[in-house]
Formats: sequence, structure tokens, C-alpha cells
Amino acid sequence: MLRLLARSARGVGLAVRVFTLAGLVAHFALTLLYVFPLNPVKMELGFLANLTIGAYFPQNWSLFAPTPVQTTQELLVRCLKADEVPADPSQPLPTEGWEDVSSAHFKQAQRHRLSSYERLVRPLQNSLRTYLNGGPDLYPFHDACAKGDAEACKVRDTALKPRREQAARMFRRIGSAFCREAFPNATFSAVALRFRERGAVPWSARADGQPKLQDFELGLYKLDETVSLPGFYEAEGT
Amino acid sequence: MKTLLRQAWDWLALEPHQRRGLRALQVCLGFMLLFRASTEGRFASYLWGPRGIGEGSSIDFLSAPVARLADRVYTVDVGPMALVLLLGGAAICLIFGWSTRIATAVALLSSLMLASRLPELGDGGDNVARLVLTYMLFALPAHKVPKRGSLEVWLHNIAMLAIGLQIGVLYLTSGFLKATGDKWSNGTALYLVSQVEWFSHPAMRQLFHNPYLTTLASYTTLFYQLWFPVAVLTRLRLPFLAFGLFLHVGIAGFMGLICFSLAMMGLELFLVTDKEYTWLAGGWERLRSEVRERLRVPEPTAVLFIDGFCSYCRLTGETLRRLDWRGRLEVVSFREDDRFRRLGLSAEALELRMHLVEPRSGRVFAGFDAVEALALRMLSLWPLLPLLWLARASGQGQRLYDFLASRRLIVPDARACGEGACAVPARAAAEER
Repeated sequence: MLRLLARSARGVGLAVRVFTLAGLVAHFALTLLYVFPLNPVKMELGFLANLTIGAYFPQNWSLFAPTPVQTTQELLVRCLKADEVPADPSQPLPTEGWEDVSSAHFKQAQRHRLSSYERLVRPLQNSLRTYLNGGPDLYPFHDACAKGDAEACKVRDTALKPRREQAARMFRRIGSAFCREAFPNATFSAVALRFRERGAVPWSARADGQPKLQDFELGLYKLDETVSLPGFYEAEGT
Repeated sequence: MKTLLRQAWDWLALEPHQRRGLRALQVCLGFMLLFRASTEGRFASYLWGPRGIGEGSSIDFLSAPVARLADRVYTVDVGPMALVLLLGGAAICLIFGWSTRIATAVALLSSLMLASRLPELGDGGDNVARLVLTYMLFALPAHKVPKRGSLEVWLHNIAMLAIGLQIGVLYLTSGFLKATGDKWSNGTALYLVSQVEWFSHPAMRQLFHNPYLTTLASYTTLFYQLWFPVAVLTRLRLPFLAFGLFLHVGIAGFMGLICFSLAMMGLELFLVTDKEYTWLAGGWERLRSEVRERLRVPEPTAVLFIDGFCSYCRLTGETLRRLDWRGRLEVVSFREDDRFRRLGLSAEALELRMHLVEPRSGRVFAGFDAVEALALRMLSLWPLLPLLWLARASGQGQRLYDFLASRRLIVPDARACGEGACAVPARAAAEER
């Protein structure tokens, strides 16, 4: 009886060993499939990688590749009092009084490397990037769309819409937190948002070139009265 | 082929591997998570709270009913704070090697919960940390001695293999993608990154205007990542990993990616084998003894007179002797050694305060002055200097010293007594009078 038990324990042990080893091989085969660029195998079996790795072990190792980040995006906020809010959305917004929410973070992060500034600006900066391009999984669709693939354009636009809406909600909350905290004595009712993209000076113009600036309107939003205040805009007064 | 397979099987089945590498990884991940908890904790409500900027749900990794329950943690302000505290606590356990399996599970769960609420906050370091924490659940606890060939040894080795393969996938993918990018192949990638405020430092920006430096730095990054999965399997492993550590210290300083760099440094240290750690430790010990031997002075340059009847003073003397690896200090008890008389000191003065004497210059430091002079002489005591200078500036240094010295417990040692009874220490006798 004891011998039988010992033998079955050994059998279970061996089965567990073989199963875990096979699991390891399968896991990393799917991982490679998931992280690698689009290729014929991925076109065939990519759904398996998305169902497993994408769902439970999501990962992205592009790390500044294939194209490194080369633009600085800044969120500009204009806190608006009730009488400043245009009745008609097509009317122009005030040109003065826009505040750059991102740059203060960058400066502090550069001054204090062992601080939270680099990470605290991440939700804002990553949302700005998502708003622009929707994220790495949409890059192939952007490329295909640029080459005239109408179906790719449609898929991209469908995927982009909810991501932009989510990013816009993030901007509204951050903008509202800024307005309420940086100007505690003012009563605002709306927040206008735009982002500024500062392109890198090309290598050939590095000696005297100036970065190219471009502003994009993100829209006018009702001030979020409930969002928690972070506690760092007061000190900065950006 | 059969032998090779047998060897591979035995490697997995018999003895646990990468135990020191795993500890190094745990320490680095511990510091990374502690950095996060200590710097982001005060913003917990703003980042993850019910009215914070995060709006995600744990449904990404939990089934719907469980996620509904788990998401309740975000409905109160103390919820995210508790998660951050758990993360910090687990990080400390990982650093010190306490209950590492439980600490790993807690760190993984809390970081998953925080990431699901606000995924926009994370970077590559958080991503790889979560993956290796998952694999580490199957690793042996830090100080456990397992039975040879047991199932837990097998699971540990599978986990070690998974971490190694994950590092390989990371580098291979990143290198491969970089190789397909024109900015990396034309060598201007790091020049471009150096202009992005988020990932650069103004002080370094001008450096990347140099064509040699920017090309070299871009190509080095590209080739390092491309070669990594192969190089770590060759004899070049240690120099390659050392270069990786250097590279990631640079990324932390130049780009400000502290969490990412700590995670990557942990992964590089993980790949050093136990045998290599033993070899490195031996080499370090040899180097240390050689340096000590070379820096050791032929004879002590100062004598510290302490009270050998006071156990606390003896312990202090012993500690100082250990810290003084150059052998410049001789610690003696004035109860057993009367050299002090030749140096013009009295037993009464020595009973009140310890004295540091430099026989060559004839300089004598007493009490707090002696403490300060010792701290200046010994490199290992330099961290105490600001405190000592503060004590001097406030005028409380000598007073504090005398307060402590007068309250020390004196127990005469019979071996130090002459014939017959021990003499009562002068101060004690004076107090009795």
C-alpha cells in the first residue's frame, strides 16, 4: 500500500514537472508572439497571444523604439469664470491667462531626481500621447491608413474614439484640480484646455534651430468640483 | 543529445539556482516599490481615490464578481492609502528578506490594484516588476534550505528560468524594434530624446550636440540590447551586466526614470550566477584585505584612554577598534594601563572623560572633543559629523557627553586590582562623601 502511494506521488510529481515545463515553453512562445511586430505567424496566431498574454501578462518593450519620443507635450489650462465662458462654443477663447501645467512638473523632476514629480506627470503625459495616437497597438493602423487603406482608417478611428474620450476626462480632472488649487479664492465654472507640442530641433539645425511649437484645442469643459486636490499646485503657483 | 537533455533536466530538478541573484532582484524591487510608496503615498487620494484622477477597475485581471468586490477599495480615501502602505511594507520585507513569498504576493497584489486603477501612471519598470513578481511567487523563500530534488526546487528553478527568459524577451524585443527605427540606425535617437523635457536634463542637453557622443551613445544602446540575449550566455556575461548597471545608473540620472532603472538593475544582478557571486565575494575580500594592508600604518598615531570598568565604554572601544581598519588608533583602558601618567594625564581626569592623545603632536582631546576628533579621523564616522557639529554649535556637546559619562555603570574588574581589595573609583568615593 505504502509502495503504491509512493509510486503515485512520484507519478504526480513527474506530471507536475512536465506540465510546468511545457507551460513555461508555451508561455514564452506566446509572449514572443505578443511583443513582436506584426508578422505572418502573428497574423495567424496573434489572437491566442492576445487572449492569454494580452489579458493576464500585458507587456510592451518598445522602450523608445522604433521611433524615440521627440516631442514635448504640455497641457495648457485656462480657468474660466462664469462671465468668461462663451455662450456659443464656436466663439474664441481668451488669448491671455493660459497656464502650462506640465512644465512645472518637468522642472521639478529635473531638479529633484529622487522625487515623485516624474511619476506624477505620467497620467497627464501618457493621456496626451494616447489622445494623439491611441497607443502602440494602433501604430500599424496609422501606417496603413496613411498608405490609403480605408478599412485601417475605420478601425483606427473606432478604437481611437473611446480612448480620446477617456483621455479628455483625465484632462478635465487635472485641469479642474489645477484651477481649484492654484486659485483658491477665485470661483471658476469651466476649464478650457489645449495642448502644446514642442518638436525637437532636427540634427542638421542643432546649432541655431528653434523647436517648432504647435497648439491643439482640447475643448471647453465644465469645472469638476469634486476631484481631489493633489497639494502641489499651491506651492508651485504655476 | 540525450546527455544534454539529462543535464538540463538535472539542472532544473536537483539544486535551487540563482539564489543570490534572486535576493539581489528582491532588494532592487524592494527599493523600487519603497520609492514608489514613499513618494506617491501622500498623493494616494488624488491618484487612486474615489474622486481622484484614476477611473480604472480591477476587472482587467479579476473576474467580474471578484472585481466588483475588490473595487470597493477605491470607493473610500483610505483604501488607496492602505494599498500604498501594503506596498511599502512588502517592499521593506523584500529588502530585508523577511517572509519573501508573502511579501511578493502582497507587493504583486497591491501593485496590480494600483495599476488597474490608474494604468497611465506606470512605466516599463512597473510592467516588468509585476511580471517577475508573478514568477517569484514560485521561488523559494529567501533563507529556506530545500530538500535536494524536491518539487519546490523544481518550481523555484522554473521560476528562475521564467525570469531569465522574460529579461531575454525584453531586451530582444526592444533591440529588434530599435534596429528597425531610422533614428536609431542613423545615430540621432539620443540627441532627439535629450530635447524632450520629460526624459532629459538640461545640463546634459548640450553634450548630445556632439556628433561622436550622440552616435556612440545611440549605437551602444542599440547593440547592447540586440546582443544581450546572446552575450549573457557567454563568458562576456559579467562585463556585459556591469555595463548594463552603468547604463541604468545613467538612465536614472539623465532621464530621471528611477523606478525603471532600479527594476532593470535588479534584473541584471539577477543574472549573475551563485558561483559568480561567490567568486566576486572572494575577489572583493581579497581586494579589501590588500587595500587595508597597504593603507595600514606601521604604528598607531593616537591613543584613546577609556574606562575598562565600564562595559559600555569597552563596547565602544571595541567598535572603534573594528572601524579603524588602518590601525591608527590604540584603545586602552586606563584602569589596566598607566601610560597616561607619562603623557601628563591624571586618573581623576580620565575617570570623568575619555581622552584621545596624539603622542607625536602632544595634542590631547577630552570628552566631546575626543568624540569629534575620532569622527574626523575615521571615514566610517563621517556621517556623524553634521550631528556633532550641530551639538557643538548649540553648545550642548560637552554637556551631553558629561551627562552620559557621569551615568555610566562602573563595575571594577578584580584582575585590574592590585594586591588585596580594589580601590573605589575616585568619583564614586567623592560622591559618597
